[in-house]
Amino acid sequence: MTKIVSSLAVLLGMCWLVPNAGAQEGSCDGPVFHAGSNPSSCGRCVFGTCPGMTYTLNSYYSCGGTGYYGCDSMNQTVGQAAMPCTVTFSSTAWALAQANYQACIIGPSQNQPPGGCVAPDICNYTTCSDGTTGGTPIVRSVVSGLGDSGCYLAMITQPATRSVAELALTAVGHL
Amino acid sequence: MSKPKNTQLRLFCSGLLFFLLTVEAYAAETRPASIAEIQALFDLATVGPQHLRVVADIKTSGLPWTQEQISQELKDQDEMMQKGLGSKMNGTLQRDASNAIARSHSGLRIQHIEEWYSGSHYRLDQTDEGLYSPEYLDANPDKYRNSYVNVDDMAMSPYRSFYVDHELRDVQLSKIKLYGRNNLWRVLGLDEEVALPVLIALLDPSSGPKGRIPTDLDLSTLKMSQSNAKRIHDGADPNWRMEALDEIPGEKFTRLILRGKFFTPDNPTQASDVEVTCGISYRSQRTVCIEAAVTNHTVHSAFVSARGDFDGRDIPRSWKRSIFKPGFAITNVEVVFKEFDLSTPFDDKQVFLPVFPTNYIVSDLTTGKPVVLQNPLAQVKPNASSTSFKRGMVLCVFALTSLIGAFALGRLTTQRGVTSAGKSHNDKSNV
Repeated sequence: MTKIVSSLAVLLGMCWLVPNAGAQEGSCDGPVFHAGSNPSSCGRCVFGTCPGMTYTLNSYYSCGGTGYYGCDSMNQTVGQAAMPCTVTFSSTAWALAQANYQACIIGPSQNQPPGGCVAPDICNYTTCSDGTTGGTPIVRSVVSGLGDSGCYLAMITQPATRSVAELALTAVGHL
Repeated sequence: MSKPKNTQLRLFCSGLLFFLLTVEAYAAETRPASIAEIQALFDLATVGPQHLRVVADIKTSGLPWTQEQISQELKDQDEMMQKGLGSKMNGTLQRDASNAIARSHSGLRIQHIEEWYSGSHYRLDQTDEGLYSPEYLDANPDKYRNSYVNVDDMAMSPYRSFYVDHELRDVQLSKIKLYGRNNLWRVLGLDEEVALPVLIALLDPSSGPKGRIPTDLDLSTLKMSQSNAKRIHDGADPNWRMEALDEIPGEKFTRLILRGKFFTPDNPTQASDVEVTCGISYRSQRTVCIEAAVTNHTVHSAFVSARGDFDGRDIPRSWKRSIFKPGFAITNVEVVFKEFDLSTPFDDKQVFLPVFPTNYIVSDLTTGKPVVLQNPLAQVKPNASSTSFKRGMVLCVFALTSLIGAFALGRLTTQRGVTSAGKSHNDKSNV
């Protein structure tokens, strides 16, 4: 009688665990994947400046979903917010354009183009690029110890080594 | 809080002292700059990017953020998280995020970097101390956390650039974006702020490339206009004046002072009255602009730069730059070079090609929205939990039915056993 009751208890316990078990058949839908993004970009040059800021978010995994017994996480930087744009000014090109403009102004008037000498526009010589520093870290809770090629998942679901049916048959066999 | 302010004040005072010395220098005996000196300054202005690998620390100081700025940024990030993940920051996360924001804008930011320059290719490997916790930095002293790479070569890759977080094993590719460069090769010549007026004053326009906008890569091909140089030397140029000052007789050090009007990038709509000073040292291996300053008398801005601690090749190990702009906090940048390798060749494909280990997540973010190209974990994690749940439940029901059946069978067998045993016992007793 004791054997039967204990077998029943084991079986009920396994039934409760079934939705989280069976990782060896690939039944896990956690941890949760967050795809990276880079939604903002540097604006166009305005009077030689680059307005706007960017933010970048990396791809990362957080604890969540089902299909595993445990998940360790820690808060860490997953991106940067309010990152200033870099003004890349082509001084060589600007200097050449200025030199040509000066030469045009002080040169003989018959050599000037029909519309007259045109002063170069600073924004034709300025590129707004994404910066590489100066932003503010974005901190999120990230799965720690994420192994190669899903080893972590295999590790955290390791207790489910015997199938429920196998256990049931064993229990019956003991009778 | 007081430390960065003190540092700012010290740097401001040293900058001021430098200006005062410069002003004082004007009062001393100046002479027209010789053609050779003018050529030396032009040569420094046209030092172009080299095939180069650099290891350095970059220290940037400015005003630290106030508590209000930190709170506002935290609020913005919390709102961003609610939009993206549908949840607010919990207590621990909010504390860590707040600390990270305060750390990143403490008034001093240090970047540990390794850079490669080769033509239009650029790679920056970097650990930005402002972004990561002291625990992470202590645990990873010899690793660069991020890489920013400008490939910018269709023959090499369809992607113009990529960014890597080596800890999160995440790669972001882009077909349009390029990252800003630190342009540390400029330590060998003039700062861009100093080089610009020199080029405008002396450049021969016909030496530029034909049919396209020149880039920094064309710098070394540019020629000085001999007629401009002669006019300036003779004091006959309508716009530019250049004077020289031998501060220490017998020393190979000359201060050159260039003054004129031109359209500056920060005031492009009207000509600014600008003064440039450059202390040129003729060292055994190379000519170096040790101290430089640019003062814009029209918009009241200034720039100061100093090079020092030279190695055996007369390459500076220290490069300090300060920017003063009305209405803005003073920005000070100090670069400490640890390695400056001009001679060891490196393979461009190894350094700049977007090739990654198979355990990295790779996304194309050209449009800003992610297109995941490689996710190693997703390959071993099919989303089959509902099927598994159903299958598990069926197995449970089957097992429970079997067990109950076995239990009932067991009871029946036991009862029969007891009955027959009792019967035989009775039989025996009867005998």
